[in-house]
Amino acid sequence: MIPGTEDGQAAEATPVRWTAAAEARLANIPEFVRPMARAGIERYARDNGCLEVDEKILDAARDFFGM
Amino acid sequence: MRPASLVYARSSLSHSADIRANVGVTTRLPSGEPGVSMRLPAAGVPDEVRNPQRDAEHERDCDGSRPEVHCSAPPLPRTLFEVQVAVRVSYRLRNKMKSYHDIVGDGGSGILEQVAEHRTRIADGLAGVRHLVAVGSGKGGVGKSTLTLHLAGALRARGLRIAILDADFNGPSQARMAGVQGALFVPGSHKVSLPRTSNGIGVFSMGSVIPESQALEFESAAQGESQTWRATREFALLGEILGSFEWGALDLLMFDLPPGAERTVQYADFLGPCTSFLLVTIPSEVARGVVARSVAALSKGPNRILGYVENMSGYYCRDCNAIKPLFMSSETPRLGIPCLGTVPFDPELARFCDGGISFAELGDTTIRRALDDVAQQLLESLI
Repeated sequence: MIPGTEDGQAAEATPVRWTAAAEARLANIPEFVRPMARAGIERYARDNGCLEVDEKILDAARDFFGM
Repeated sequence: MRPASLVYARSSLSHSADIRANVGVTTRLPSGEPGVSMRLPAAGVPDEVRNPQRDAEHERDCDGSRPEVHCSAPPLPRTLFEVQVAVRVSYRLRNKMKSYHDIVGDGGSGILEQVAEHRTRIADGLAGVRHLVAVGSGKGGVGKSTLTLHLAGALRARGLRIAILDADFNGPSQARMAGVQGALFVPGSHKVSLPRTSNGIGVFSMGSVIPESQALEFESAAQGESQTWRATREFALLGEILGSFEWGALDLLMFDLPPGAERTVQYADFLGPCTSFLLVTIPSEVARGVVARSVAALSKGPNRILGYVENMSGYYCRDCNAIKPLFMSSETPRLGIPCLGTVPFDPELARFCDGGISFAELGDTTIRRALDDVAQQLLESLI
């Protein structure tokens, strides 16, 4: 949960920033599914209390999902 | 925007010996709203269209619309074809549109290079894959997806490196059955990581990123062309998936094909001759007939057909510990290809699929032994 939010619903509206390096990696995802992939990664970041997606977050997601 | 109904010319003006001024044509959309309105420069109207001597008045309705023609000169084109030619000539002159004959080479699109690059990317992505097997049928609802997943599980249990590509983009089921719903597509430095099952099978399924309550939508620039657009877009997406994801070193990549007899052939064309086919049927004459057509169609191409699996060969009754008939037909299918085995219907397997429970959890059951036998036959057919 992100500090300051009671039930996380406000968190959904909180924009998540992406670093340039993370954006560059995101470009590897086929364009058609990229928006859905972005949304999923941002949700993972929020769930872990982060408002910025960087390469560490991406690597952590890979490890979490056993990739 | 829907194309306007190009209709005809109707002139209420008197004739004149020469065309001295421009000719105007207004088309109407089927809704009745005005569509294209343009003036045709007399000089731009081909001689075969201009005919001052002809009576330009003619009337035909198309979709209930009527053209309005403002003509300060005489005779207009009489036939629909002539009007269409005139309008197109004017449009092209005004917009400098190239015709087919104006295009030199590929028109600067580099389409051949794009296709070559695309194919190279796919080939690079699959460079580490030993065998490609597409699981198809032609008939829907025969259990392709279920068999694909559980054969993969049986082969994985033997230590093989397996991945599944759920090619049914519109009706993906592998994500749920494999337990990778909600899995992320996480990009690496060059490729995208593949979601994996608990027993290590890589699974690509649109069901991982698209909720079951949503449909997959292919945007189309022109309405009325969605069918063409979808098929084209599907294969373009398939190519991107093959080229973008980390398939890695695999013993077997299985394609779970969408239903439809024509799809089986389309995927054979797209995936190329290195992809073998495993067909699935059930003991129904209707299903066998459709599968027979798929066999006939595939046999015309270079793809190898490994054989077929007869799914739902019977109903496994746990109380009786026996397999009972599920369909009336008891004849052996005459498909002209090897039978790799039969798999009975077991409600327990359906429960496992709905719950995303892996093959390994099946335990020593009749259904698991049947799947194991088929997997062994499949493996031997690939060697």
